Parts: sequence; C-alpha cells; structure tokens
Amino acid sequence: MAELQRILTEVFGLLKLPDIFQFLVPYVGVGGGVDAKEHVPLLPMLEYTLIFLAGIGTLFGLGLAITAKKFSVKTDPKIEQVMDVLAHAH
Amino acid sequence: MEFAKLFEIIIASSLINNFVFTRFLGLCIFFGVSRKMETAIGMSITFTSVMMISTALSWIIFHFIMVPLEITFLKIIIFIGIVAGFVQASDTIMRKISPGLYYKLGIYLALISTNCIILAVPLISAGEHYSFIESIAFAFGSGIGFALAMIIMASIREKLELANIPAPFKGTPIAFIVTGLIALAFTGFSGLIKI
Repeated sequence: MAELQRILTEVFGLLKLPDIFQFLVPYVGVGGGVDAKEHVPLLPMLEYTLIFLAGIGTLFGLGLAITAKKFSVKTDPKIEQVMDVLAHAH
Repeated sequence: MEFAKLFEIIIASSLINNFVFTRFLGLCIFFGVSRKMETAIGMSITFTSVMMISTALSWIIFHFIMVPLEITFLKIIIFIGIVAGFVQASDTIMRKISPGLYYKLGIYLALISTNCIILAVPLISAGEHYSFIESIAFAFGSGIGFALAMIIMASIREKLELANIPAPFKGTPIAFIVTGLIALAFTGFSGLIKI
C-alpha cells in the first residue's frame, strides 16, 4: 500500500512524462536473438522502432519503384483489349 | 572444424530436421506444386536460390541494425518485408532480363513470398545465433531438403495417377497419406548426428 501511495504521489505530484510511462509499462522484455533484460528504456526503443520502420519502408519503396521504372516491360494494350472481348473460359 | 560444423548444419537441416517431413512447414506449396516433376524441379531451384539470398539479406539487417538498436522483437515483420520486397524486385528484373526464365519460374515467385519455410529460416538462424556463413549453409540445407521432398513426392504422385485408388482418396487425400508415410521414414534419420 505504501508502494502504491508512493507511485501515486510520484505520478500525480511530479507529472513527468517518462515517469508516467514507467508506471504504465514498467518492464519491456526483448525476446529472441539477444538475451532478455530486466529493464529496457521504452522511449528510445519506440523512437528507434519508428525510425527504423520508416527508413526501411522508404528504402524498399524507393528501391521497388526505381526497379519497376528501370526494368519496365512494355505490353501491347491491344492484347488486353482482345482478351477482354474473348470469353474467359479457362 | 568449421567445415565440419557447416556440414553438420546442412545435413541436419536437409535430412534430420527436414522442413516438410519433420516440422511440417510449407505444405501449401508442397502439395500444390508436386503434381508434376517439371514444376517440382522448377520450384525447388527457385526456392533454394530465393531462400539463400533472402536469408543473407535478413542476417545483415538483423545483426547490423536490429541487434545494436535492441529492436529484435520486430524480426517477424522485418523478415516478411525483406522476403516480399526481394521477391518483388527479382520478379520485375527477371521479367525484363530473361523472359524465358520468367515464364518458367515466374509463377512460383509469387507463391514463394508467403511461404512458411522462407520465413522460418531467417527466424531460426537469428534465434540460434548462427554466423553469416552458417545461416547461408542452413538456408542451402533447407532448400536441398525441400527439393528432396518435392522430387520424392512428385515421382510418387506421377505413379499414383496411374494407380487404382479408391475414389474418396483420389488426388490430395492420398498425397497426405503418402506424406505421412514418408515422414515416418524420415524419422529414421534422427540418429544420424550425435549432438
């Protein structure tokens, strides 16, 4: 109970942003590949996650767009028009 | 010493822990494409090459970016993205550079991008702390194991077309039964390497 009071006074008394985060999610484990830690700082992890995902998304998007542009294959639109007219009997 | 370890990994992933017959992963492609020997061989070649390259890419991104930043919990999403992006890019490039190869193997590329084995190989090699060469050897062994499974299955199914099978078992059901029997046979490999 004393612990809870201390946490409550800490949260409502000081209202520091990182403290609130620590209260809400005290421990975040990192599983697989690396050894699990007792405590992981949440905010840097969120930052790195967002930056990494945005970066790799941009990289892959640009790469695919450039590839599609550079290696594009011209197809005759007449082929599609003829296929549309034909019966789709597979 | 190093070569002995690599050889062990290749033998273990292709025979002892064969992905199809021991772990039962990637069965959708296995049953879908193993009807004819020609498609089975084409699929195996495409599968092994895509798996080796995507495992190498995943290893580089995992060990040089994700481990230092301590965001390894993202590995499933990132590995799916890497495989899908690589497959899409190779599909586009192959269509332009060698249309013949594209019409032979292109249909398999779209199937591969959502395969379980392709995703399981980088995940397992990240979990087992494999080095770069070891993870490529693991991918190669898994590809060889998959090719072995496909070729065995295709040769049996081509014979089954002519066999006198009861009507309810024709097609896929008998293929499932045959897979179970081969899986039983593959348990015989389990004592091959002492760990």
